Amino acid sequence: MSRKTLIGRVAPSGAQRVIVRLRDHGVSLVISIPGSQVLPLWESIDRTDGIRLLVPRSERSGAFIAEGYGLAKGVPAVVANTLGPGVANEAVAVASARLSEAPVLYIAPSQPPNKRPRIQEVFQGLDHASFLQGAALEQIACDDSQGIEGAIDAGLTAALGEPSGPVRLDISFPVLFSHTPWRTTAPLRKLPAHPPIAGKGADLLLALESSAVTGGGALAAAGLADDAAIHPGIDAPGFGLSFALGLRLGRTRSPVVLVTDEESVLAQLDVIVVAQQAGVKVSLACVDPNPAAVERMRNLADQTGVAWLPVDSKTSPSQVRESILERQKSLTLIVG
Amino acid sequence: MSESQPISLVPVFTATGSLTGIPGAVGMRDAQAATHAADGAARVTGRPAIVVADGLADTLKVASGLVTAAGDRQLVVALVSVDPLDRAIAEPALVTASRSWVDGTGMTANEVVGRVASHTPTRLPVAVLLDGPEQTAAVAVLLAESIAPGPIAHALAPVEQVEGLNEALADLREARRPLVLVGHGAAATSDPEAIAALARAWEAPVCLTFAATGMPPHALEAFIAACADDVPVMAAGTVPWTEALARADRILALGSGLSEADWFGLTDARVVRTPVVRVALDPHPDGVAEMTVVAEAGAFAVALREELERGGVLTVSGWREKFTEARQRWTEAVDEEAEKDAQRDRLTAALAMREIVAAASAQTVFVGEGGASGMWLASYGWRRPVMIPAQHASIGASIGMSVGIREAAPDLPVWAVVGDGAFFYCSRELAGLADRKIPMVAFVFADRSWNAIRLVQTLFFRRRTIGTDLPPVDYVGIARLHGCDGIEVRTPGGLAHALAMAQEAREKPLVVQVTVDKGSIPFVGANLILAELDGVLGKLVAAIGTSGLVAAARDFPALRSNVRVILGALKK
Ligand SMILES: Cc1ncc(C[n+]2csc(CCOP(=O)(O)OP(=O)(O)O)c2C)c(N)n1
Repeated sequence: MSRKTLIGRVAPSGAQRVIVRLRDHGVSLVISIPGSQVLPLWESIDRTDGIRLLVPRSERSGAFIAEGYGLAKGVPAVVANTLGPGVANEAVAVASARLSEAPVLYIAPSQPPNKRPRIQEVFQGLDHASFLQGAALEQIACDDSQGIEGAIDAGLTAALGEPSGPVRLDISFPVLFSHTPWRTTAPLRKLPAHPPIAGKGADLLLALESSAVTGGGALAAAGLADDAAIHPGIDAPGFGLSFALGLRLGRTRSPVVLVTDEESVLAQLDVIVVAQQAGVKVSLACVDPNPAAVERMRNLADQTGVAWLPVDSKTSPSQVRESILERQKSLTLIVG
Repeated sequence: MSESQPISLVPVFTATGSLTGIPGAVGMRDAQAATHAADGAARVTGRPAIVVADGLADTLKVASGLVTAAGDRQLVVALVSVDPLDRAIAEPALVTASRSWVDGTGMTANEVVGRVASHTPTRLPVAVLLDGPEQTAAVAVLLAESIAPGPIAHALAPVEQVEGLNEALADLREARRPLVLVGHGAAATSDPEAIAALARAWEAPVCLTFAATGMPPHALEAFIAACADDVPVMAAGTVPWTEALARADRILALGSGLSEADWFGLTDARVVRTPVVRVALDPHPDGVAEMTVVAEAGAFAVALREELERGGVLTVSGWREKFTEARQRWTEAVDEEAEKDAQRDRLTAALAMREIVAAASAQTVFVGEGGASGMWLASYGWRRPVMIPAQHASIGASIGMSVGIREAAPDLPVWAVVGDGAFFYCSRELAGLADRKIPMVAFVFADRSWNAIRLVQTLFFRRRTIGTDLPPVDYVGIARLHGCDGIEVRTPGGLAHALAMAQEAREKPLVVQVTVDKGSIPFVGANLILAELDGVLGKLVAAIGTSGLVAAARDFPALRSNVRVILGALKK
């Protein structure tokens, strides 16, 4: 928006400028668990074409969705959780994106400068920058509405830099609410290019819950033993479904598969709900030879509205693989 | 502190497979949930509890959980270890979250325990970085044995030697409308008789902070008994509580971890404008209190009472009694709200919460969250032990906390109240409760909304309720997947049936999906909304106009009084 258009009008809110700048840079997804302080961002997303809001069911899940998304798309997803306890829940995901070098921009409202010297007494007071100092690739603070566009540019540029990774941007929350006229806006510069991760074969994106949890058995049974597999930067179970949903949302064409286990699925049922809410069809095949485990997974699929891919002793690995490849737009879970 | 529930061992929680071998350690699914469990155990006992973890992922989850515990100064001791290469990632999170930090790498278990013991009297969580699971196990075992059961001794200077004491006493003596504000630490560990006797002598009403309403059950019982009928005790966030804070001319705040929301020390909405004298265990670095006296709360209460006995009391007559009446009116109003719905045979959040509290046994410990359902719980359940994260009003911790409460106090029934938005944060821990045949009850308030946030949209964003609707989810079905029993209720009759099941629950956790309308707004919590938006509140109200705010509140009888409070505070 040029300065001219502002004459005689109320200046847009700080939040509106954040969202427009993100959109102008090609960011199309903001993942956010609410709190009062992020609501101006939500309103602005609602008003702005070309950028949408995804509300996960925990900050942690949302942040792992962003990791997968950033890797698959090569454009950062933006995570915008509420301050204090919201940011507190991001720690493991920020570290994970640091390790996988996934481009993610974390934007958080922060307590205004006058409250920071006594942050421990402030309601929901947490020093975000010191809490995530070790995990984030870079951290930026914006306390003045004049600096909004510059801060967004710097954040996205750093997230896509060499190395790429999670960058945090704290914006003093009254800045998001304020309608301060601003002087100039730097011209939009092209962001560094970031190659999205490649898939193999039919552009299949194969993710693992973690390298330890998932033995080769399930991969072989699903005909996936030769595919290149990725997992979240933090190689531990419990994040794979979110990560894979992020891959799915970031790469709309190729099939996305997650090889996982029963416990991890049960620990991430929220992600199934969020996937369905986002219009992603989730399918599940159980390649565990134990019939009781198959029965439990079938029950889970029924209960959660997940499409069931029947696999039995007569189904060959190549048939399983075939049925995965057919599901171009689905998120397929292989439980072994 | 009463000795009615001696704790023989400090409970240990972990989600890390390599550490489940510690004798007595409770294995959980998730390390953040394990930290919430230790937090719950600390809340219910008033004493330390331990969480152990190994590896970067679990250590960072512990750091996330510690933020909530530290906000309410719960004595969680976190013993963690990471690969030396990951230390730079983990350490800042642990140090910032716990506010109290020990680098135990290379130390003997004895040395580590000595260092931890020197930290605990400040009532802050302690994070301890260790070399690996072996050292962690050794420290955990030694620590669990060495923290003796019984009250925590405060290694503090006798109150007479405290700096600023005479000045504080002289100032407080001038009060005409005095008030005693009691925080969690003081409530949990100080002599309730001493505090009640001071309030009685000073003719002062008593306000509890949100965290203090979650004091250990035996402490709450003793506190209410000590205050008897003549000292009105008001629960945080209720209208009489706010009025008392707004009208007092001297506030004595007993507690180390008080936040601005506990006394409305806000920039925009400054309800409390009177000097606050705070009594804390450590000098606060940048307190907003007029004066901080470092002393044990009970000892200070005795000193002030003696001062009053010498110099006389200046309290205006009828000041304290007013609050006995106000509290009574408030209780009746809250009850009427539910009764109206009962008459219409409509299950609302108000009615459901009233019935749930009424059906619980006297020993039941309630656990709640920072959302609207937690505010409903605080509206109806405050005479019970109600554990809700206060400083951070965190959501998602309640099921984890419930595990810890059960483990630390196995004789007490635990009923959690969870929002549907937050249900999934720790829902997998239901499976562990089922495995261990623990009959905890979780009421999921299924209003298909992030309702506390919707409330803010209703009030301050011209009712544009963007993004706060939730899709329908079968929480009962999900409970069954985790090995629990489940039942959905939609009517008062259905709820009565479910409550009978909850009372009978013996072998398994029970999840009750309470399906209610999203339109309803709780009674308490105006102070939290004020605190959350402090810095922009004045502008928001100016933008929508006073009449806009009043109109937004019109449809919600329960909200009207809270809006009055908001507007009143802003005017000042
Ligand atoms: C960890 C964390 N994230 C976000 C918030 C902000 N927040 C406060 S209440 C609330 C809504 C909770 O919704 P739900 O769990 O459905 O409970 P309800 O308010 O509807 O009873 C949110 C998101 C918080 N307090 N803590």
